[in-house]
Amino acid sequence: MECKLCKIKEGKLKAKIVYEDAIVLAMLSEYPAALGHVEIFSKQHVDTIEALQDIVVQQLFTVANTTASALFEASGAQGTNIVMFNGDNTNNPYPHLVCMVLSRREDDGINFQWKPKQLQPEEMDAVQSKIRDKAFIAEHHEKEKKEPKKAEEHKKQEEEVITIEEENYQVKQLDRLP
Amino acid sequence: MQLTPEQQQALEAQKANCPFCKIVKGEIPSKKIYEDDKIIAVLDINPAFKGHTLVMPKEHYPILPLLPPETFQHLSVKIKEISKAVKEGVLVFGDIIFVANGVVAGQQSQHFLLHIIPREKNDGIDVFEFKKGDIDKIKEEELYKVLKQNLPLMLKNAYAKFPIQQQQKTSSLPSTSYTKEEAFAIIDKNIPLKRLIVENSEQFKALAQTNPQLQMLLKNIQIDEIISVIRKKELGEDRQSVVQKQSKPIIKEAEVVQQQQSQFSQPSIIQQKPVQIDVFKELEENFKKQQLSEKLAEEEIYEDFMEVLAINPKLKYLLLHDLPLLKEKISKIAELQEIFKDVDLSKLKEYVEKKEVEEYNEDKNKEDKEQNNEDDLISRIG
Repeated sequence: MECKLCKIKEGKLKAKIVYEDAIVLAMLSEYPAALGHVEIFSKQHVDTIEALQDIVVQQLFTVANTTASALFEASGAQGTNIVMFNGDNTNNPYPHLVCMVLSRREDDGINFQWKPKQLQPEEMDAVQSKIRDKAFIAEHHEKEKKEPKKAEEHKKQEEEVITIEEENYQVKQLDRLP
Repeated sequence: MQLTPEQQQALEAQKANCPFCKIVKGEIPSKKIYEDDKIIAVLDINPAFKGHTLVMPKEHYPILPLLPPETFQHLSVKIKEISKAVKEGVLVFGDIIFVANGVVAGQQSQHFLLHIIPREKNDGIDVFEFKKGDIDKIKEEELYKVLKQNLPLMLKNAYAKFPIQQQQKTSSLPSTSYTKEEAFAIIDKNIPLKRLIVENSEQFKALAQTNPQLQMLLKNIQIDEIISVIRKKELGEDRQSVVQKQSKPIIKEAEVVQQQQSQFSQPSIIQQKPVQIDVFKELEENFKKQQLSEKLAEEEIYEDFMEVLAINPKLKYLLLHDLPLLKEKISKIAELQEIFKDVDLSKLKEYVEKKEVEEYNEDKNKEDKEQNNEDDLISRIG
């Protein structure tokens, strides 16, 4: 698959890179919507944030946040937006998870104000309970997963150790025979 | 970011009237999704799409850069989990994570909020399609230069104040870059290098471009800057020491001292000393010493492993006889991974084998001696 950002990361395409380390890369956008439009992405090719390790996510947000501060100072912005395109159907111009930081001024012609939708109270309740269950499961599932596994591994290790010790013992016995 | 006392006062006043602080306290009812000691996530009352979620810190902060680093890191990890839950809860494959800093950017509340907006095909949300604007190319080029200069420095400052935990691990790898202070400290200790900088800066420049060690050291620093700083420091110190030595005999002739000072500030006098060849030798020796000390440190690590292996004969057996199987096991078992994470197994094997041979030889020697003793005894009795 052709991924423009991966080509930039490998140095095959030129870009105005403003920051690069082992994990993430930040560059000025090729199609800037405003003066001060920075795109930040992970070097690992993913399309959702869930596929990344915690450390990479932290790094991504830290760079985004610092870029926002830097744009405040450097481009005379009056405000900043951080927009992360996470997954399908998000108008993401790339097939790669990307975080855009925009510097904003008055009357710059950009408007992120979405039209609010009115949902029925029952529907809101249903959505809330579904998401809350998922969030709850996600949190407790991980903890439960780790504990029983470890116990099993302990047992396995112990068993194997015993068998090999026995073998060793038998081998030694053989050695002692004249 | 630091706030002035006046801003702090304004913030306190904001806090008292903030509806989102009341949501956090439970004074205003809300549809909570997630809550822990630092952050809370609730459904938006006027959603852009069903499942539109607001994530906020419990403490009142107006914008993202004002969040303390601890809360920020906690927030960024939790966003990942909450976003996943939102997607699965509403059955969509994508969402937008949106932050607005400042009223101009569309921030409507005084409490910092992070929006998670689930997206679907043809959902009618068209505000996140970015269109290319009319941008002044000259201004953009200026901005590029400024950002390229500032951003790495700002990030370095951010990490210095609050390092990401696993960041430290990567920094212990040999391919790290040094900060300015570290580089200066290293150069300060390395006397021949310092002399080279002071006395022959051109040669130092050439060396800095060819020597890989120096390249690494000076990755983030401009060479001219180093030369000027160290020269100033060194020549300044030289001058002072000279003045201290000579101040006793020449108290009355202050003018002469001044002349001498001005002479010393010119580097031409010092350049006469022939030290250039020695410098390289000393540099090389330093390098070799460093390598030696690294080797010793490695052997110490292996010593620790010897203890581990002595307790666990199975591991030792695997290491010596079936390396591929051991590797496979290490990759599967988390505890083993922790123990063996930074070690080159084949080197460890060599080391262990070497030790085994030594031990075997020692034992043999002992046995031989004992046998000799026995023979002696037997012969005496005989």
